Amino acid sequence: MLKYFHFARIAFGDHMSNRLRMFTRFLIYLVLLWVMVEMWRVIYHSGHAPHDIPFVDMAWYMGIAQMMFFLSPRLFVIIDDDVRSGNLGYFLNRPIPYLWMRFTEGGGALCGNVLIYYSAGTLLAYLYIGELPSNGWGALVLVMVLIFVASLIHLLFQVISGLSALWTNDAIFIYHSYQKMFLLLGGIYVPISLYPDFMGGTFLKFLPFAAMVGDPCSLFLSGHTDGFWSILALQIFWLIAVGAGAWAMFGRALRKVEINGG
Amino acid sequence: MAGNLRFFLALLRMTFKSAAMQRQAILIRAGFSVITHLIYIPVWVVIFSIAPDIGGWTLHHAMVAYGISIACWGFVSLIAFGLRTIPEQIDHGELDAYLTYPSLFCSRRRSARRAIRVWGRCCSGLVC
Repeated sequence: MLKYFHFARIAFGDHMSNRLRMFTRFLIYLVLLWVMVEMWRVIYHSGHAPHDIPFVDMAWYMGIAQMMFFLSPRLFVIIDDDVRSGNLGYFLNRPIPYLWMRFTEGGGALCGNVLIYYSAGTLLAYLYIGELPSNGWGALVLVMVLIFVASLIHLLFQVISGLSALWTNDAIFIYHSYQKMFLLLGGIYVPISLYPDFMGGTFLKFLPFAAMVGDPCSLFLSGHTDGFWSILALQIFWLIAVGAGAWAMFGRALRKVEINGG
Repeated sequence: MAGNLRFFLALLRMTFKSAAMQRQAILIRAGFSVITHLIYIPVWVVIFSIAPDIGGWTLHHAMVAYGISIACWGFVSLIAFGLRTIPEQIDHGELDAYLTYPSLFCSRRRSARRAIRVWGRCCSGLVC
């Protein structure tokens, strides 16, 4: 396990050293936060607001939902590059599985982002929104814990997207499709509880997309934090399931690499 | 000018031919490209089912605006997507090789990559 720790540590240091990239990414997060909060402000002012959700809670929902997208580094780009450049072949004979090496590197960079977004991001969101969510800061902390686990699942999905380059020659198509499905089924723009009946909101809550964003952020809207452990259990289930899927896909990818001659 | 235009059209034709050689990859890309762009339609439907009118904008307006913007983006990508990769090329030290070519650097780079995907964008825009 020590080698994984060192890979994560080096990735953390590397990620933190590129300050301009981090700053521009953070700036984009703030713009998206502003856009989403203002969109809901207009909806609330126009009289179409959901009756049981105060604007403050909706604003925090949007702020943290957008933040989740920015916590994970763009791991699929690195894997896509490894596949297309052929570097993947050089990593296979090293005494560490390529899949988990990249995943731990992503985890290291994720920790760097967590430091910044959980401190400066949350502080700026608080200053912009003006007050804490109705559940208080305790709910905010619990949601942050869940969002961290969600980011690990997101990393695994990125690994799968990156490996898909072996079949598609370009992983960005798969990643963008996954991202858009995430937007729709994860409740990024609208809480899943507000989805029309024909969208099957009850079913959507159990999918990995909702388990990553919609369910954790719904703690702001429910008025209590009783659902924390059930959401965490669902996330752990999906973490294991998606991890197993990534491992199985990596096995298939290895066979394809061998067939092609590495 | 006319020479550069002829060169650009020839380059565009070659890019499509090159991309179309990988048939399985092209089909997968085309399918996912359409999904990627059409997925916003249910997103808009969900948002406007909650608020039928956002600042005077209705679902119809949003669909038209999205259709126009994505079709324009598709058209721009068709003729100039490669320009986005210039920083990456500079970063990788690949600029020098292009500067030795007799044609303009920008016209060579602007249609260089991912030419097939733009049709997905144009089609998605028309559907909207």
